Amino acid sequence: MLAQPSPIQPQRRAFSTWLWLGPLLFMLLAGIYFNGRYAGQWAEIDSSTFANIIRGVVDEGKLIPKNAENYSNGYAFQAISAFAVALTGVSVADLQQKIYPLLAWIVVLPAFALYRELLGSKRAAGLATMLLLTQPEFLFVVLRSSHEKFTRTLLLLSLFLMVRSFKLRAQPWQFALHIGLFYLTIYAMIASNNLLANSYIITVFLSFLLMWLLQIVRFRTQTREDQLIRRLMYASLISVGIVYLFIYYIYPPAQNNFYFLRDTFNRMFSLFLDVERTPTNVYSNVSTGWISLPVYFLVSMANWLILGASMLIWLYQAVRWVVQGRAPENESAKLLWLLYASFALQGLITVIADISGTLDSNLQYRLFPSFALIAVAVVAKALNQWRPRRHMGALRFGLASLIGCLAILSLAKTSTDPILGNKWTFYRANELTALEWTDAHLASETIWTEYDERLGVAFKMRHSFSGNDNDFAGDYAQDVARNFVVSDVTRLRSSRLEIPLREPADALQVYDNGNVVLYHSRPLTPYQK
Amino acid sequence: MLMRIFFITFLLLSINPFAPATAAAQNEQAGVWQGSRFGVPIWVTVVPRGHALPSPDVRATLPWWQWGNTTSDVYLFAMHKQSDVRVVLEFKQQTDGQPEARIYLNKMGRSAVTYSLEGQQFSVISNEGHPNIIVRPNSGSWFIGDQVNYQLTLLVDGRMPPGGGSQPIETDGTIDWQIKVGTNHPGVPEWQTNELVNDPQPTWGYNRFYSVERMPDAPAYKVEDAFMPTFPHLTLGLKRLRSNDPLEYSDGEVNWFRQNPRPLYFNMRDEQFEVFPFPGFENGGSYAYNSNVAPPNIDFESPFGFYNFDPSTREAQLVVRGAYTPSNDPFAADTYDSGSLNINRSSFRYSWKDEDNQRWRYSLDVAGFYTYTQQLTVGDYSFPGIPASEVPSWVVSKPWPLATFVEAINGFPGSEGIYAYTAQAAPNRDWLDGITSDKPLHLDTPYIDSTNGLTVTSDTDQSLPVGFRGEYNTTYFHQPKVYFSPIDNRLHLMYAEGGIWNLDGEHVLRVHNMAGSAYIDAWARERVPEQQLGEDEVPQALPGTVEEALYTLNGYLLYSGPRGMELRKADYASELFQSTPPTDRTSWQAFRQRLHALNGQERNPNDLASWLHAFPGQTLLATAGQISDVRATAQGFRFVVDLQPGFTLSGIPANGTLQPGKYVVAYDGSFSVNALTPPAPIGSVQAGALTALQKNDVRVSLENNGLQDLNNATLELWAAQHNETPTLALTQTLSLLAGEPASAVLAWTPEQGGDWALQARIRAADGTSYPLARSNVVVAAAPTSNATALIGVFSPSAALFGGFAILALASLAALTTWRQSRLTNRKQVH
Repeated sequence: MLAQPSPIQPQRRAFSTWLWLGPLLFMLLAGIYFNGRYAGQWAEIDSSTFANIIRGVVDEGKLIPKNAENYSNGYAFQAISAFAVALTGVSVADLQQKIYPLLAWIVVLPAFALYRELLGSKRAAGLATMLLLTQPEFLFVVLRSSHEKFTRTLLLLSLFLMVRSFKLRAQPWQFALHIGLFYLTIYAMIASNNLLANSYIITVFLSFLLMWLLQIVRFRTQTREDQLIRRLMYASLISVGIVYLFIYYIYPPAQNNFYFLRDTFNRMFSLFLDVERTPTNVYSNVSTGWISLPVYFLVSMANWLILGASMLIWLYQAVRWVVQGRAPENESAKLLWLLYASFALQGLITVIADISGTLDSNLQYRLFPSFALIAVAVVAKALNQWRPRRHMGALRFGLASLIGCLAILSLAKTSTDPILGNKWTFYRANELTALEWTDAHLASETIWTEYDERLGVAFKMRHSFSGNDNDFAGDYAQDVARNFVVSDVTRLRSSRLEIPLREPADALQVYDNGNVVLYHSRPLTPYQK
Repeated sequence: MLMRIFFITFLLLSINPFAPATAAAQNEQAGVWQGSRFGVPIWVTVVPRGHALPSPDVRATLPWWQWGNTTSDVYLFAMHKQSDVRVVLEFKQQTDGQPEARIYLNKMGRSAVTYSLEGQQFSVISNEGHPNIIVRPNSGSWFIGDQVNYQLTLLVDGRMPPGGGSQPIETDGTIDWQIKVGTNHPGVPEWQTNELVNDPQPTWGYNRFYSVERMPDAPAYKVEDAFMPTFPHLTLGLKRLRSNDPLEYSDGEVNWFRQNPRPLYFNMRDEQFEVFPFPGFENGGSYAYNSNVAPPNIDFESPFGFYNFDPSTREAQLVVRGAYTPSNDPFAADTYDSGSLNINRSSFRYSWKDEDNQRWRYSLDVAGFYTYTQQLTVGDYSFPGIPASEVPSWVVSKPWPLATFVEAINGFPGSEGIYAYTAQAAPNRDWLDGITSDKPLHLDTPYIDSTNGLTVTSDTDQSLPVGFRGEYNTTYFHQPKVYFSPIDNRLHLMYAEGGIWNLDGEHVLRVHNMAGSAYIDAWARERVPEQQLGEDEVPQALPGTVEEALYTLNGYLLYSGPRGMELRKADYASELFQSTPPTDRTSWQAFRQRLHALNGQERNPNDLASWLHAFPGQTLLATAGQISDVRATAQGFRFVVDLQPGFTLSGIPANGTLQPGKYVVAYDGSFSVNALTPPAPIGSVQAGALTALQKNDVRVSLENNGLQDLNNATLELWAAQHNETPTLALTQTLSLLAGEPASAVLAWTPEQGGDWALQARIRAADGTSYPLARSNVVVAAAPTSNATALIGVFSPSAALFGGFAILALASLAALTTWRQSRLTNRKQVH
C-alpha cells in the first residue's frame, strides 16, 4: 500500500506547502557563497575543460566541433551552455565561474519532489533535501560548472517520474504521460553524460534483479511485486537500448571513451561503475589534500554520518523484511530499500576495484553523490518516523545544530577553503595578469606555474588555450620547464605544502607585477635562449 | 504490450539484418577460366554486359582477358576455389564516354566479395556496393597508341591499401584518398600524388600526403609483365618469397630493384589488396615526400631521395632521408608534450654505398633548424621542398648544429640507408630544442648488441650493432666533412667530439678528440662492464676497463697496452684527405676511387700496438708500467706513468736520476717529469642571501694542489642546523685537475630558516674523502601560510563576506531542520 497523506490542518497545510523553500534558499545562498568566496576567481579541471568544450560548440556551431575539444560522454551541457551564451551574450568564462554556481538550486525541487514520492511526507522530503545539501561530494558536483548540475537534476527527475508512475496505474493517461516523460528524461540524462546515466540504469536493473531474487528465494509471487519487477526490468532494458542507440548512432564521440580503455573488461566496468577518463579529482589526495587527517575527517563528517546511519537503518529494514517477513509498508519503501542496496553494491565493487587496481588508473569514481541521493532518503525517513518520548526539544536543537555545523564544514570542503585545504582552487587577478603577460611574450614554451593545475586551469577558464602555444604546467614539468611563474600565493602554498619552489637560484627575473614574478632559466647550451 | 513490442524491436535491431548473402552461383552467360598464378590456383570469371561472350570453342583459343572488354564487363578473381572471389574488377563507361574501372574488395581482400549475378545483371553486395577503388584515365582510354596511359586518377574509398594510415576509414561511398598519376612520356609513369581528401581525425598525426617522382636521370623504367594486358595496372602476386615456400611458388615476388610490380596488387599470400606507387618505390631514381600535413605545407619524411649513380643497377647508391618539422607544425614529435614548437626542425640521414651495391657503408647524418625556401610542384600540388637534384649539395653545404657519422664495417643491407646512431634520434631533440642542458647520453653510451642485427632494440637510432662504428659532435656548426686518418686508415667525421666502435658486443674501441681539434687523437679499446639486464634489454657501451690505448698528441705517439707503454716522437699526418660526402655520380666515383686505393690497409682495432709499426721514430720513454690520466693541456699534454725497473728514458730531461715509481710527464713545448704527489684539494663555500624552501646557489671554489688529477670525483655538500648531525644535501660529479682551479655551483634548498653550517667534501672515485672548508650561514624563513596570512590574500570585504555568508548558511540550514523537526513533533501531538 502506498502511504496516504494525513489530514493536515489548514494553517499547517499552508506551511507545509512551502517546505521546499528552506532548502531552495540554502542552495541559492550556497551558490552565492561558492561564487563570492573568491570573488568569482576560481577554477578547477573539469569546469575549465568544459569551458573549452563549450567554446568549441559556440565557435563552430556544431555539437561535434571538428577543430576543438569534444566531450565524448554527451552533448547536452555544452548545448545548453552555447544556447545561454548566444541568448545572453555573456562570456563562457563568466557563465562557468559566476552564473552556473548560482544555478545549483535547480536540483532542489526535483529532489524534494522525489523524496516526497519516496517517503510519502513533505516534512521528510524537506529533511532529506536538507541532508542531501549538506553532503559535500554532492554539493561540489552541483555547484561547480560541469554537466553534473544537469545530470544529477535529471537523475532526480527520472527517479521521481518512475516512482510517481507506480502510483498512477489506475489512471492510464497520467500513467502513459509519466512513462513518456520518464524516458524523455532518461534520454536527456544520457545526452548529458551517458556513462553516469548508464550506471544509474544498471542500478535500476540491479534493483530489479535483487527483487526478483528475493521473490524466488524468500517470498511467494505477489501481484504487486510482479508489477514492480516488470517495471524495473522494462525501464532498465529500454534505457540500455537508448544508451546503445546514443553511443553508436546518435553521438559517435561517445565511443571514444571505450577505445581508450584497455580492454573489454575495463569498458564493461566503465559502464557499470560510471568511471570516466578524468585526470585528477580535487578530492583524490585524502592524506595530502587537507592540513591534517582530523580536518579531513571533520569536513567529511557529513559523508560518514549519512553512510553509517543509512547502512544501519537499511540493515535493520533488511532484517525485518527478509528475515522476519515484515515487508515495507508500500512499493515506494521497497523501491527505496532496493535502490539503496543497488547503489551500495556498486559502491562496494568500485572500492574493491579501486583498491585492487583492477581498473585503468586515472579513472574518477563518482558514485558517492548518486549513493548519497538515496542514503539521505533512508535516514530522513527514519528520522521522520522517530518518536522519542523525552528530550524532544533538546534532540530537535541538537539535530538542527548538527545540520548547521555540517553545512559549514561541507561548504568549506566544497569550496576547498585554503584555511583547511591544501588543494587550492582560487586565483588572484594579479596572477592572471602575469599569466597573460607571459603568454603574450613567450611562444611554445613550458611554464611552471605551481605544483598542480591551479593557475593553468585559471588561464584555461579565462582564455581557452594559450594563444602562443604555451603550456602552463604543474610540477610534472619541473624538469623541462625553463620559465617559472611564482606569486605570493605560490609562496604561501610552498610554505603550506613544505615543497620548495622550483625556479633556479640564478634564474633571470623578467617580469614582476608586485605580487607575481616570472623567472627564466639562464641558457647553458648553444640551443637555449 | 507496448513495452514488449519496443523491447522486441530493439532486440531485432541489435541483430544486423543486412548480413551478406553468399556469392552467387554459376551463371551460364559468364565464362570461367581456370589456371594458376605463381602456383596458386585461380579462377577468372568474365561477366559480359551488353554483349555475349565468344563461344566456348573460341574462348578456348583466346586468353581470358580477350573474352571480355574493358569498357563494360566484369571480371571476378578467385583463388583456391571458384567461389572465393577476392577481387572484382568492373568496367563502366563514364558520361563523357571514357572508361572507368571499379575494384571491389571485402575487408581489403581478406574476405570474399559478396555479389549477385543473374544473367548479365551484376551487383556487388559487400560494402553496400561501394567500390574500394575507382580508376579513370584523365583523357582517352587505358592506352595511348600501344603505350599504357599513365595519366590517371584513382579514387580510394576507405583506407589506402593495405594500411593507409592508422585510422579506420570505412568504404561508405565517400572518397577518402585521391591519387593522381601523370607523365610527359607515354608508357612511363613519372610522378604520383596521394592526398587524404576526407580526413577522419584532423588532429591526429598520420600520413595525409605522399608524392613520388622519377628523377630525370633515374634508371630506365621497368615493370613486370602484365597479368591482364588489357588493363595492365592490376595483378595478382605473392609479394615476398619465403624460405619454406613450396616449389611451385617460384616467382611472384616484388623486387623493386629488378622491376616495378603492377601497382594495383592483390597479395595472394597475405590475402590483402595493396596499392603500390606507379613510378617506383625506394629504387634508384625515386624521390618522395611523405607528409602528415597536406600541401601547401609539408612535414615528416620529406624528402626521401634515392640517388642512382650506377646505371647498371636499379639500386640507389645514395639515400637522403629528411625529417622535417616546420615551426608550429601540428604534428611535431614533441620533446615534451607541450603542443607544437616554435622552432624549425630539419634533419637528414645521408647514407651512401662504397664498393658493394647491395650494402650501405657510410652515413653522415645531420640535424638542425633549416627551412625549405623553395617551392616544388608535383602534379597539381605545390609545397616547400628542395628539387631532387639539389638535395645532396643542399645538405652537405650547410653548417649543422649536430652531426653523426657511422661506418658499417661490413655494410648494411636494405633500401633506406643506415638507421643506427643517427643525428635524427629522438633523444637528440631534447638537446637541440634546448629542453635539456645535458648532451644526449646515447652518443657516448649507445646500445651495443652482440649481433649485427638492428632489430633487437626499439632504440635502433641510439644503437651500434657489432661491426658499426659511430662518431658525433653535438655542437658541430660545420659543413659536414669526413677525413681519412692515416693513424687507423679509416674515415672519420671532422671535428668529431668522440665516438664508439662496437667490436664484438663485449669490447668497444672508443675514440676521443682530446685536444678539441678537427681530428680524433685517441683510440682506446675498452672491455664493456658487466651490466644487470632484464629480458630483451641490450647492454650499453658504458665506460669500461681500458685494455689498450693510443694517443696522438703534438707530434708524439703515446701507447699503452698490457705489455707496457711507449712514448714515441713520430711523423704522422692528421689526415690523408678530407672530403664532403658524395653528392652526385662524379663525386661518388671520385670518393670510391680514393678509398679503393686504400682498401685493405685498415688497422686492426684489436691490436693497437701494431699501429706503431707504421710510424717509426725515437722512443722517448718506455716501461712495462702503465699510464693513466692522459689529457691534453693548453700547450700540450700530460700523463701519469708508473715507471717499472728497466724503464728507458731518452731525450726527456729529468731532475736527477729517476727511480722506479709514479711520475707526471708533461709536455708544453718541452718535457718535464715530476714525481707524482697525491691529490690535495682545498676549497671554500660561499653563499649569498638564503631563503628556506627556495633554491639557493652555494658556490664552492676548488683547487687541487697535488699533481694527481681527481677524475670523476664527487663534490658533496653537507648541511646541519643547530649542531645537529650533518646530512648530505647535494652532490655533483666533477673532475678536479691538478693545478687547475675549478668552481661548482650547487642549488641548495633548506627546508627551514635559521642558522646552518655547510661543509663541502670531495669524495674521490676510490672512496677517499677530502673535507673542505666549513661555512656558517643564516637562512631566512619561508613565508608562513597560517589563516591570517591566507585571509590577507583576499580583501577584507571578501573575508567579511565569506564569514558572514557561511554563518548565514549554517543558520538557514539549522532553522530549516528545526522547523521540519518541530512539525514532526506537532503531528505526533495532534
